[in-house]
Amino acid sequence: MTLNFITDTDTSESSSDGEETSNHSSVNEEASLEEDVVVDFNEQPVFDSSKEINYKIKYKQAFEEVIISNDVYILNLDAHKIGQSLRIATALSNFTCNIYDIDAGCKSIRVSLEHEKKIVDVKFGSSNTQLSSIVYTGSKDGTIKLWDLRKKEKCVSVFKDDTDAELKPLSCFDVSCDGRFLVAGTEVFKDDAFLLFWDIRTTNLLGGYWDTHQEDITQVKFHPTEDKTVISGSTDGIINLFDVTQTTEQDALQSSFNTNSSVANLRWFKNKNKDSIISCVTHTEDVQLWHITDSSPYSIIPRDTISSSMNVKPDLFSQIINCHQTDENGNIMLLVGNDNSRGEHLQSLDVINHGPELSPRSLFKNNKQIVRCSWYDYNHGIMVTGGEAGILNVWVPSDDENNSVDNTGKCTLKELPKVSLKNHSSKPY
Amino acid sequence: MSSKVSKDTLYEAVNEVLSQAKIHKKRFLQTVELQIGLKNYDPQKDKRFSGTIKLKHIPRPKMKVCILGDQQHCDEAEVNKVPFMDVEALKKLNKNKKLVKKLAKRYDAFLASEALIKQIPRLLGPGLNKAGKFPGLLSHQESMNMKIDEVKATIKFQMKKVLCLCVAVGHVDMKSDELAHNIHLSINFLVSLLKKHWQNVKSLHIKSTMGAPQRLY
Repeated sequence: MTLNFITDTDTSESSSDGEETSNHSSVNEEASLEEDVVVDFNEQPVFDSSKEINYKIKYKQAFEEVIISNDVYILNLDAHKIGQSLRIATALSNFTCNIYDIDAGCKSIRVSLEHEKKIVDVKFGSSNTQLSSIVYTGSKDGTIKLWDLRKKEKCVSVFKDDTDAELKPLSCFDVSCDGRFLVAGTEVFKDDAFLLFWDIRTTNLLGGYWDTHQEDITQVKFHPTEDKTVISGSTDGIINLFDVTQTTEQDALQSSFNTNSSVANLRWFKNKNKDSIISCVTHTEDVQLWHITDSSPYSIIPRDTISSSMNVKPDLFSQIINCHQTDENGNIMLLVGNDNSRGEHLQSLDVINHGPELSPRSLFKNNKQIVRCSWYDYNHGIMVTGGEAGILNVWVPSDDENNSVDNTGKCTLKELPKVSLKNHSSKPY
Repeated sequence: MSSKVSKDTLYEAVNEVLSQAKIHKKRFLQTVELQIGLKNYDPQKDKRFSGTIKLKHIPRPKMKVCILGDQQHCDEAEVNKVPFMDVEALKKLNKNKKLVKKLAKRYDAFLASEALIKQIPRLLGPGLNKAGKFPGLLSHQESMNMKIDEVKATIKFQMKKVLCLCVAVGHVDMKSDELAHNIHLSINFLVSLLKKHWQNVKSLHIKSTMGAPQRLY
């Protein structure tokens, strides 16, 4: 699969008449100048040695699992760790959800949970003492299902809004920190985009809001410690903050933030002073960081800053996979990939001094796919990734980063051994 | 990543669109749209294709922006002949859904002073959010006119259920250089967001509101 670039660079001329044209076009110009060198897309990412740096934390792949059927993406995942055990739930593009237990050297696929349409997210219920047996899956089919992994009849409850003739297509959901409430966001349904709330114990629909977003709601997140606070984001570019204890939507809406873009991903963080911070990844691959008390982001990290902070040449276009908290002080890292080759380049970047400055943190060697979702545990530094080749990876910090899973051997406890792949050769590319 | 649209093709199409518009004059200012057809793109699996682009030349000069200002911004707006409202005027709407809806309809976008923007949910309820017109921030460090131009130069794009996307990149009274530049910028930006870049592009057309489409790619 080679991409034949047409090497005429003359269209880039027209942007040279304005000095302060958008960065995007200037990046293009730069890239197109180098385009005389035919880019072979079968090659590995070109590492720019001038940018070779010592990564702060070295990682190695500790676990790899490939979904056998072709062309299945891992779109979302969640994980739960107690002691040496790690339980992972992956939502696949074929409307199913797999649960894995990875425990001191052995892996077992627990179950496969199903929906009728695309699964938009998957989450574990909270449990502090044992691996959580409660899994929630939300789907475009309009339902959120609660599964109890200990029971035979695994689907214990179904949450839906059946106040209309059809169910509303869900696009995201979240569980409150005390585990009592569920909230889901929907796509535009008969001119309204809904936020719906349920009581988990009774499965009753408690109510909804439908007057605060113009377009599809893409993200909804309960505050990690205050169960009354919810944020929602949409492709209309607005982030809304609600106090859900208020009875009407009008009173519940506390503040709104205009991102002037389209919201792809929202997450909560807490900084040193225990202030709440929201990270927002946009569909144009930029990152914005907001204090919830401000009316503009305190930091905007544009895509070209991220692209140029990556250790590849030529400067390619980055793809943001996720934002993760790296410690108790609320430091933030970005997990990023890029569109070169098959997307093998995967690394994390630390946000320095509240951004937009970035510094390389870790490189994830031997990644084989475009990563779409990730989970990170800052206490143990464990990273879990899933992506478009249907590969699930667990990464652990290690000084010996080249010790990839190919030397199966006996890995130490923390590093989980590789699972042999039944159908390793059939890569869905 | 080089462009697959040569300068010649681009200018040819732009000139054709502009000259057509000159021959068949309409009573309104025609918009020029860029239409992109996609392929190898699965809306079920691939990332959403949605966002904003800031262009160099304002594509919609007739866009109406209203300032929701503090005293200083209101005074400035009055001097600049920009429509504005102060806190008192907003309070008069009394969170009345119909009135807020009417206000949202009257303007294409809003900018608000720092002091006001936090109060807007309280003052107006969710009406502006519902219309997708929650204001952007206008700070005292920025020039009002420049900020308004920035709003006018920023266009939204979003792919819905069909594998086709239209963006308003200009109008027929633009110079061909300006229009070509906006189109070039938009194409490069949009293609950079696609996973496989040009491999995801099936076709590119430009067309004025009433004119015939011109194929670029």
